[in-house]
Amino acid sequence: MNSDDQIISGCLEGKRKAYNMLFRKHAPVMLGVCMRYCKNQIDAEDVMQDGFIKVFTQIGKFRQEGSFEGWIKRIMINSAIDNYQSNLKHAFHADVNELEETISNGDEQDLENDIPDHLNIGKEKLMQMIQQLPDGYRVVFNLYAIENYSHKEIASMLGVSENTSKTQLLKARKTLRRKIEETIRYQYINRVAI
Amino acid sequence: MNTRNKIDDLFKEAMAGYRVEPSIGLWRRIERRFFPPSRFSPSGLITSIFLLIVAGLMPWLLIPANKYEDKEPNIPAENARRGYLIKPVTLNKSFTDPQTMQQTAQVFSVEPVFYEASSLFTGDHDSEELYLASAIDPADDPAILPLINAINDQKTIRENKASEPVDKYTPEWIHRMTSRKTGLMNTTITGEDLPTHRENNIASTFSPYHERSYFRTTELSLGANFVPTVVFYDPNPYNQMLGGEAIVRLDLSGFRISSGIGYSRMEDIGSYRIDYKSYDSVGYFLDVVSFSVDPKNPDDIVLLLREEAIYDSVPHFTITEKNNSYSYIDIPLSFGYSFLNNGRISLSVNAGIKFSWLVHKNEPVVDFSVSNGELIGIERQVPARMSTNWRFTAGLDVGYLLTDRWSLHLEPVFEQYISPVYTKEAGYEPRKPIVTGVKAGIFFKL
Repeated sequence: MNSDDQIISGCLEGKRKAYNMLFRKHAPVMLGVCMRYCKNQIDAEDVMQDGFIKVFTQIGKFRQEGSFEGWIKRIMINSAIDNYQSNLKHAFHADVNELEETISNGDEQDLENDIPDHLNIGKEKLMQMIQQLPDGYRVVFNLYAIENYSHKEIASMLGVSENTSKTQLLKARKTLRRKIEETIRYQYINRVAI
Repeated sequence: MNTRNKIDDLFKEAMAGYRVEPSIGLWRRIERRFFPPSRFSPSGLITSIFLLIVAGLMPWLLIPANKYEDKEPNIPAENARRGYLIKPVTLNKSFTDPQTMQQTAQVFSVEPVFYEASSLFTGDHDSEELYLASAIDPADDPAILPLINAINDQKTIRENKASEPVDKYTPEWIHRMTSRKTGLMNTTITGEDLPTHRENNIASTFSPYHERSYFRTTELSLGANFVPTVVFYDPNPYNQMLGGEAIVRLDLSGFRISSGIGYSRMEDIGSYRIDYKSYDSVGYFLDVVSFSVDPKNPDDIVLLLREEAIYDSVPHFTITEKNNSYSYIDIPLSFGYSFLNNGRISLSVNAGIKFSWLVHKNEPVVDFSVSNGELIGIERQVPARMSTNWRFTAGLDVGYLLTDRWSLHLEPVFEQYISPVYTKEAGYEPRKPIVTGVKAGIFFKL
């Protein structure tokens, strides 16, 4: 029982082994997705736990139109958004909506400058940079830059304006660029020191 | 329109197929949420039945088989004698003496066998048919001597028949025959009807000592039980407990008392709260890097701003679970009464107490692995276990007699903790769980 079709049919028959197989096959990639939306692995596992419960309960609704992994990923992202929105109610939040700025083309161009074409930064370091972003930046950046959603779709998913989505994306990019520059500078200093 | 730039591409490429192995306990947490634990697990019952079958086979595996038929060809022809194997048969109906109305009969089965002559059977007995009251080894059976005596008596009767009246011996024979009827005897026999020719009618005539050994009412047995049980922490899920015990049992006219020593091991899910703090971004501020006068409008100042994130120590907590295991030494004491003993099957009710002493516990260290996190403390959500416990126990024992001495036992048991399992702490109600399970064991009658 290794193919997704066999796993799905096993799950529909209520076989616990099939559910376990589904988890074992997809959990590592899905945890990689969830970690991008969370501050650390513990929070990401909580999000993924909720996501898998939804996958298990709604597996009968899966239509064989797209990939099974894509369907699971979509559920995980929704679970991460739910988690983000529920945290908004409780956590102290610097509301960037109120600090919307006019985004000029110059800002966009600035972000392109000084970024070498080939960077020697590990995936773990890049993941860490994403995780250290403020919650709002992180969610918007993930949805736009990695999942390829449009600002209109993101605005709809998060219940914010398109402009807010754009603003947060810009700020996320700025923050990431600064972190990348710091990393490059640190690497350069280390090389010089050696 | 999705306007991309280098940063987007850099992260998208790096995050494609990014894999992280989840922690070991994650599947278990999902499983416990998605599959609520069943209130009944057949695994313990299946294990018990399997072990009962294995235990039932043990006597055949461990005790040499009594293949006397196979041994017969090994007896030298000059030493081979013909006899009858007399075996006591489990009493499954009562025999009433018509004269005394006492139910004291014992029934024996008789089977023709060959045996090897020994010094006990020399001389005049060589040509005679002997009756061996033995089921396994005639030399070890206490009934052999009285039987030989009986044969000698019969020989004496025959030898003296001509000179002495048979009546001299008849009263004793009648006494023996009527007090301990055997399968070889006619229960309605009287002095007047006593046959004069008895070669084919010799019965066992046990001495009072050996009669008591066959009709004893006090028995001491040793046994071993395998005890799989389930502990219910209502309303929480159950935990399995596996154990074994060595038992000494004294049966006294239907009543029984048993005690011994046992070992049991159970697993428990320990819940821990981990408090930690991490330096998280909680907002940002705009830092003035430089300022200058606007050349087009000298009244205005142009600020060059830089956004700086604000990091602060934010407290977090998470709940994690660990599999803890606990080992106990148990000392049971129970009293019972056998209310049914029909041939091979016996039924008894037992009740008593069990003392448990916690001798070993395995509580794995809780891991803390949060990047950029600083541990504040780990708080155990469930109090520590008590070092000793008392339990009330009750059960219905079903016994099956394999041989005269070996018996198998299966006993559904119910236990109720008298003392709580966990120590008393503020905000936590001490639990006195119930236990159900099955004892499966084998006993040997000394």
